[in-house]
Amino acid sequence: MTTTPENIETVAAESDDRAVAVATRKQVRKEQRRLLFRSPSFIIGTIIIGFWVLSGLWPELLDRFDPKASVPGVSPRTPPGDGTWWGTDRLGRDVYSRVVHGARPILIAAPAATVIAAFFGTLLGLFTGYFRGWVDEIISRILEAILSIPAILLAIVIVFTFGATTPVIIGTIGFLFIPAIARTVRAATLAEAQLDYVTAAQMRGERSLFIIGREIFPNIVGVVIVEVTVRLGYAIFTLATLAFLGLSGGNATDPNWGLDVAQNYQQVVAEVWWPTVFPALAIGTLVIGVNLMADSIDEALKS
Amino acid sequence: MTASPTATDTAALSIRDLEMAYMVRGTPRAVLRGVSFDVRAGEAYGLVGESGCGKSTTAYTALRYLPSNGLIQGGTISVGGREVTAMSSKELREFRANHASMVYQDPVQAVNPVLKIGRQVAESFEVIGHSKGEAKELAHKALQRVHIADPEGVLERYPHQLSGGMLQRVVIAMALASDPLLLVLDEPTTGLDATVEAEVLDLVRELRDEIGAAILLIAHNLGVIRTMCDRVGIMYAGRIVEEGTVEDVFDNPSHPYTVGLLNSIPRHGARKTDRELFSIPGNLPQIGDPLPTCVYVARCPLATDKCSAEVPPIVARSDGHWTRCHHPDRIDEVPLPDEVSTAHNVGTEEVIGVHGVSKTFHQRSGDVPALVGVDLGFAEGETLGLVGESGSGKSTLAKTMLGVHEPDEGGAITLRGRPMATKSIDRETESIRAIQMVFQNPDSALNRSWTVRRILTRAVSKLTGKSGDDAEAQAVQIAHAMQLSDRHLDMRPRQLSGGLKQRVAIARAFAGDPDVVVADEPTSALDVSVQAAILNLLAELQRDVRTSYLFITHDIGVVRYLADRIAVMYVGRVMEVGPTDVMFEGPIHPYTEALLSAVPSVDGEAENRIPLKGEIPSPKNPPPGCVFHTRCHRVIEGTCDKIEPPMVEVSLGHSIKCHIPPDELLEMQKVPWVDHSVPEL
Repeated sequence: MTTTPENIETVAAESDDRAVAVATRKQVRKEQRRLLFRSPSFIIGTIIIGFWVLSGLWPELLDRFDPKASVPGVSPRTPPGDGTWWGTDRLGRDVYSRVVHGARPILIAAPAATVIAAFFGTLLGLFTGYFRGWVDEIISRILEAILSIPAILLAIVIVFTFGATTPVIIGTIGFLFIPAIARTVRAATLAEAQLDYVTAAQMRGERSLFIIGREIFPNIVGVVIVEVTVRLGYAIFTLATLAFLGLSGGNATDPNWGLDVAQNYQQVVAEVWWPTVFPALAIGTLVIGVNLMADSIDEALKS
Repeated sequence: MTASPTATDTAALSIRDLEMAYMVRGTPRAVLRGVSFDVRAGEAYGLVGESGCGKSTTAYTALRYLPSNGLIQGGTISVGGREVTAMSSKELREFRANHASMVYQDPVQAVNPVLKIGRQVAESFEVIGHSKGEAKELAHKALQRVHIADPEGVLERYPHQLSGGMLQRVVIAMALASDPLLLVLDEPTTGLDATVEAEVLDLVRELRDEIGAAILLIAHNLGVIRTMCDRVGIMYAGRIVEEGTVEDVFDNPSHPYTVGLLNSIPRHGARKTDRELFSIPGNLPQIGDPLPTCVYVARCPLATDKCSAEVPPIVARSDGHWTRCHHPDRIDEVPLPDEVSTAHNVGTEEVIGVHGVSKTFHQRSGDVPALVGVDLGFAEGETLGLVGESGSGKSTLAKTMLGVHEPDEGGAITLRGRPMATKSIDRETESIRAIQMVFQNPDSALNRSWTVRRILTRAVSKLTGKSGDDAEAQAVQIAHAMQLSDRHLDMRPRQLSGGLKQRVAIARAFAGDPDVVVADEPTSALDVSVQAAILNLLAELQRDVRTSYLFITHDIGVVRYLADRIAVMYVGRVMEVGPTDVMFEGPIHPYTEALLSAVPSVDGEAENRIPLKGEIPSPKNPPPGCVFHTRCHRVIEGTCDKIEPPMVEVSLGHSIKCHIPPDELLEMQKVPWVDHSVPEL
């Protein structure tokens, strides 16, 4: 931990005869924030995510051409250069502008799916971890069964069955990520339920719902936050994969990273690499950015 | 700083002016502020003090066994004439392998759970250069040396298959593998039962003469130090404030801190009806606090202007006994704890009764009867002390009374004669209010994301039915009664010290003005001085509001101080129950006799220990006849192993579950017990 000398003075000054000079909660938060803001992985992660969030919110600010129309006066498959920074694709559309516009769908779908998974996963994890017993046995086995099948296979089957619309894709990924979150939350709840404050709550006749929601939940929020950030990375990855396989939930001409990779990768052998590599890099950087942020938040919370 | 009176050349361990600091958030913070002492070969030296005073740090520094943020800032450490502070990392490794050993507090964490005991013990011989074959042979011998029954069998077992006491023996065997010059024991018996503790201490005492190593024993239990050590150093805030032989220091303390420590434990059979325990005011200074003069000045009852202006000199009291104090002659002026003036009334009506309660846990591997036919009752304002080894069912009884476990059909828990619902969730508010609990570990017992205010307000509103501002006002009032100040109310548990946390836990239990409070070892995690404050608080609350306590503990001194009656449990059964003063006169159950004899005394009373053979039996397969016959030193062959003894009333309110008639038992217990059996090998 790095802190300035002034900070130590305040810690020492606050100690009196009875209170132990363990840093106050505010202080701990402050130190954690300081640690976070100084961590290189958090800074890099924030810059990457910042760029993509900006692209998602106001693509018009960043784009250079209409992403759906071919750039006038520029031939298709023009390599990266002054006019079109990242080149043009086989239909003559600007790759850079398509990548910028492609951020929005994925930045809506991935967090939405993660929120669904986090909500139900946390709920399931809390209840199974607290009550245990045969309900827990059954639910845990079902969750493990889902986890044992590759997520992408299940996703393809479900999306195929219900149609490749954005709500279906979000719902599918949300559903598929429930088990992993539920399992982590269940483990944390199990450990928490062993502690005596839970017994004390039972002894004063608290209802189970109160114990789970008000006593245990605040103590496992950190676990949930970390798990959610990790899942967010996976959700982006899964969404891009589904789009690559043609299950994008939009029109075939809409800018979409996974779709663009799928439509252009065959040309890589003809040395037209740019329409494939730039959207692929976009997927990669977004996932890495999320993971960098997740790791540094985790580290700061643990410190 | 001057050298201590012992000559350096004869010492196996010699520490001089040791200064050590931890880097915390970028600043070095002093922990040891000039520690000097010597331990001769074959001598046992004890270090005592409150937690945070630097005693463990001294031990670890002696082996240069420090975390990455630990810095030795000055002074010398010499072991067998070699300077530890000057060693290269290779020399240090060689030194630790061959010349120094350490035994840690928790044996479970000191061994590798996935390796067999044999492998681990042999490894400690391989490290010092023995071949694999020799090491195996030596491992076997090493286990024999620490008196482990069936060494062949133990070598083939994994750590989880051994009890804590056995594991600590294994750890000691490993520590002795290299025939070390220096053996450091860091709270070696703190996590163990009193009976097991006594056995481990016996072993160390026996080995002491054999090995000739310098032993440095760290303990916060003054009784352990008194019975184990030749000399003792009293540590405070990173400095030794008094040193001498254990007899000199404990019988004739010359530093106000030593006096404070000794007055804070119940001694010489003191009772709550006589006087309070002494609680040293204030807290230990934080690490890194500047302490330019006397380290103890802020808490010292004798402090004068001189104390805060000048560093106290070392004052010799007798040969080898010195104190670091300006006023050793005024030591008698240290005030004694307050005498208790108000009478302590125990009512006659039974408030809460436990009638024939049994509890069987149904597990996949079979039924486990954890409680068998327990009968106990509490009068108003009475304290019932519940003692027994771990695994005897004390906590199960507590949790069954509170409705966490549901007792088997047939028994009843009554509140003023009326049976209560068996599960807490089904109990009426009145029944829940009537009985509450204080847990052993306040860290676990308090919700760490709640503020003190919220913890108490919730308890008040749940137990009394008050709500909103009323509940909060009462919570504040209760907090004040527990000597918590307003600024503590908005803190969360991690910001409070151990003693303050336990006060919050007690406040929560008292939120609804309960009739009975179950306290499960509420002071075992606390320092003696803090323990004194908590025990005083409990006794005071009892005088004021006439609450009854079920006080679960393994500390006989504490039980004797606080309890009006004592119940002794063994394998889920009550073996003896009776008034405290009567129990200490006898006759008593042989199990109680063994328990009492296992307690190391601070007063240097003659020891007459009755060894308890083997482990407490599992409640799953209780021995036939009297459950205690397998370990009883007064067993009657043919009777005790076949017939379960009845509960015999010896005198009014004093019952013993034993086949031996009480008068015979009394005669037997007048003569000191001599162990005629062949020692276990």
